Amino acid sequence: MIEDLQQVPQLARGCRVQARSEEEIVLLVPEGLLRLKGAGAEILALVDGQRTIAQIVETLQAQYPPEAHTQIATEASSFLASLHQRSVLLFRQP
Amino acid sequence: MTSTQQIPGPLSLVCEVTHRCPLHCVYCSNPLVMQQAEAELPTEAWTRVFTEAAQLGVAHLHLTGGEPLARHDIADLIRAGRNAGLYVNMITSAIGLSEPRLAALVEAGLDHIQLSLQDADEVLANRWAGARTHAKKLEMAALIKAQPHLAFTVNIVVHRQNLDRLEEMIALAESMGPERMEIAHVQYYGWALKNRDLLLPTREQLERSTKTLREAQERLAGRIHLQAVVPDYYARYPKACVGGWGRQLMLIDPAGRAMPCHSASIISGLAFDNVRDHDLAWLWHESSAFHRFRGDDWMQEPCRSCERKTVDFGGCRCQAMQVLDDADATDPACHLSPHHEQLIKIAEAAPAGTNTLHYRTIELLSHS
Repeated sequence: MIEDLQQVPQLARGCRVQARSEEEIVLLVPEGLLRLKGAGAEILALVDGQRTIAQIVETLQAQYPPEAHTQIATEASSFLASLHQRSVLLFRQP
Repeated sequence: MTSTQQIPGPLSLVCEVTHRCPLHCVYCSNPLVMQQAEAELPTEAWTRVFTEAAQLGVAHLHLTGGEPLARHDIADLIRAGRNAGLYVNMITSAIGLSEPRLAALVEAGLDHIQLSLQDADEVLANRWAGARTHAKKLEMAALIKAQPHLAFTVNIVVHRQNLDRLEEMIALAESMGPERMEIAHVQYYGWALKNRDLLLPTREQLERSTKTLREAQERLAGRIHLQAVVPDYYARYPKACVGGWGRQLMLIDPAGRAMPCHSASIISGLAFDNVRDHDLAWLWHESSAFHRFRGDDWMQEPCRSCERKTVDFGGCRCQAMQVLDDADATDPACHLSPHHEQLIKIAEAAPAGTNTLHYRTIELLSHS
């Protein structure tokens, strides 16, 4: 789990999102590809090297009813953490 | 056997764009007999191959060799790969690289560059490579590190002669500034097999290195992704070689032969079709070499009834061929193989073996 939500995530060098077809959006990374299912593509679209993790979560939450907010926060940060663990996403201080 | 049309296309295309190489690595796992320069596919043929690959569903293009930089048109090949929609990776020794040339490759669309490291010590590193390349690599690594969009992986190639310096090698690799590090044990095929007795690590060495690895992984987490593979000879289960025969990967050799893996030519009775004569979809779905070990019809026991047959696909066909002279046998790296003992014996006897290193010399495949 991520402790500091004020960090700014950014895709590492050589990692890019690509649409392989209308239905299939993938994150291309040096050793392979990650299929972005569900909110994955939505979350990554908000990773711009400017927004903090907290801001990304808030932007997502604003698009959904309040009862989904807790789940969104949990899922988004665990998604970001898993990419960080693989060095696909780098975290820096703002 | 399932119908060929139901088989999804490969995800990776490995292109050995040349077998020319300025290095003479003692652990080179390329075939002993190589394709000569005149037989190499021209730029236009590779360009067509990349386009067909993308249509077949390939995501990653791996440009390798030999040394891909030995080709004057390498920037054109990178551009062609990117234009086709592929993710372009190049595996290089950095020999032949310079600041302007790197800039040209990046401008052409190179996504990822992989550089190998032979040792922490310059004299020894050059000895394993059979060429004076270490200083040049470090110099080029500094240029790569400064590239803002190019992914960078350092591959540390380990064996008995350098495994005790793993910590120093990881520290050196870290200073080169990559996002990824791969600790790769020598694969005992091709030239490396000739030097196996000198290169196979001992079990004690391996245990020490495992501890070093774990500490490094913890220390580098979130900054550098460190991947490591257990060497076959000491593994409990075999590797899922090339992700399963004809399942995920297609390799094209310099002359255009389409192969399921880069050592496949050691398996007797396999015939390889050529991209000069067929398109990639035909090669993937119809070429007999890709069918040979696809699925599980070919499997013997203990593989056939093993629940792991969809995990490791019987292991490596080339290793079964090399060690047991039977390409259909269970990979002897598997502890369930009736011949597993044979591999253990080789590993245990190795340190007492020969003391002469055989350096890679080129034996060319002649085309009459």
